[in-house]
Amino acid sequence: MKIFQIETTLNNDTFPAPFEFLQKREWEMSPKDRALLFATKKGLDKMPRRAARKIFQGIRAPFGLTSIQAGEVEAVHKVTTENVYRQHLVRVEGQTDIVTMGLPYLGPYNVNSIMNPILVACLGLGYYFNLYKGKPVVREGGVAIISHPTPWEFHPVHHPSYIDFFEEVLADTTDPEEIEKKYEKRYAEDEWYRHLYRTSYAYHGVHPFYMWYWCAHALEHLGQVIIIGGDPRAVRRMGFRSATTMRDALEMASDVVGSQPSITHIHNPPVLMADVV
Amino acid sequence: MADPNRRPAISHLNRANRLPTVSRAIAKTEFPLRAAPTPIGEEPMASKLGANFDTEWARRYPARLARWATVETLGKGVVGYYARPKISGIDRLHDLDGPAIFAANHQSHADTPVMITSIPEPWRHKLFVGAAADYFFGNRLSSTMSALFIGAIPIERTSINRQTIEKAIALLRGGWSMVIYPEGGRSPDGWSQEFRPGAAFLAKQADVPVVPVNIRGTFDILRKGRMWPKRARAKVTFGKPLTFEDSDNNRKFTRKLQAAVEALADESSSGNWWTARKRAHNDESPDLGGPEAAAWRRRWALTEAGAAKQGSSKRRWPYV
Repeated sequence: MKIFQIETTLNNDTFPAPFEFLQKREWEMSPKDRALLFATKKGLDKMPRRAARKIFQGIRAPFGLTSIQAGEVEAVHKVTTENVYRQHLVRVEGQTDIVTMGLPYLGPYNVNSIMNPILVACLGLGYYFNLYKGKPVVREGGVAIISHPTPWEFHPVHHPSYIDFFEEVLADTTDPEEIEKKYEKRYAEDEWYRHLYRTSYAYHGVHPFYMWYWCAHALEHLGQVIIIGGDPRAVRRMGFRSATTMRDALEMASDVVGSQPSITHIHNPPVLMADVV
Repeated sequence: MADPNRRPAISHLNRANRLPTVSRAIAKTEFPLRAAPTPIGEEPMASKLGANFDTEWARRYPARLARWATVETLGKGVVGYYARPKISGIDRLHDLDGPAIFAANHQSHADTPVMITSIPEPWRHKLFVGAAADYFFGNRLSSTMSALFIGAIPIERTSINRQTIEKAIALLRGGWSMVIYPEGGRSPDGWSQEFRPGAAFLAKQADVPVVPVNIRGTFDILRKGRMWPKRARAKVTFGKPLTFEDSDNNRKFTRKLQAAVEALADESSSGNWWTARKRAHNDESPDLGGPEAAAWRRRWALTEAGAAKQGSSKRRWPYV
């Protein structure tokens, strides 16, 4: 069989006007950008979560095409990967004791939906933690400090099995291997989840398992995960710890990495890939 | 007796009891109300202040209208109150057609308001001022105010910035006139400093005449180091426009310009045009740089000259 593959790469232009200030590094913001940031922050703090979600999920990213590759599968993918590396790789010198990151409001599985705690873990520990080449940004046994409100909130139409996964499975254990052995088959073959998957707008019943497995490497590698601003109950359910401020989080992390840790912050947007040397 | 070195035992409690003030509130502000510092190892952003400050907007009609209204009302009122400038030599500009560079000696911050309100129409309202980039364009507020109310453009004093020079040349060619102080800064003691060749360079490049101007009396109004003006009589004397000839070079033209301003100063201080012209013809105009002597002697000489000029013996003691 002859296969013809087309692959494209996009640039990092995530936010159109008037939100383009979100793409800038803080020290590059003009007074206008800072005023907009201040007003946006204050506005979002006062706004109901639903309205805030509607505004931000209504933003259409003005992505531009940076390359198109077509032809034989492996050859095409090689060129695409090179293009992605050229755009996303950021040189990072040495592993760190603590990695800090702020999570965006959007991941691949909550478009026009709610980012529930499992998706928060997946985005932070599955995506951002794993966006490295060579070795992780943080050393083995180090700490990841993530900033996200992590509300105990689920979209009942889109994520029905997530609710049960969170209430039943994670309440029992957070160990991916044990979860797989004990619960995966039951969720995968559950008739109700299958029915919702086929006839409604739900993700498959087994979907939250794979979101959780995605975090497995990070969970194995890290000594502790702290979520700043996270709902303490939801965060604790996943085996993480919640902190109120960055200062508190660093204080808590000192139990694991000592009082003089090195800290690396992954700034996003734009999405980047760490080339740890 | 209380020990002056003794500090309050619980200083943080003491601090908390202090009344909040505007300055303390500003000092406490953090990002995003205050700009974030550039992290170590990162290339700082190119500043949009100083020589890079964009003043294009200040030459659009809304800004020009605001400037016109301010100069004609507030500007004239304040200058009239503090300086009451006596303007002479306007007749020498009758043959001047098109834009020009008004090059004056620089004694104080009062010079620019006095110049802006003294320069006659049609040059007055199509005027920009070459202002020190490091001083007037150091922060956003002063940059905006300078650009809006005096039509300032930033000029580097210590280095040559091609961008600002090209900007000035483009404006001169576009029909705008310029006020420039070739000394490059205010006089520290009331006597003039050596002229720099900036005005000559601009005159050559933009092919516009240079009008020598002498300002007297503004040193007493707002001398360097003083924060608030005091009333004194200023005198502005316009000279005959000088054109950059083929035989000129920057240094030669600058010398000519300085000599012209010195002749105007002589005319202004002596009040005798004929004598001043004769002295200028014989190249004997008094040097604007003042006597080569100790600071107090220079100051004394300046006060003497000022007293003679005003024809009064009211103040015999020098400003020190």
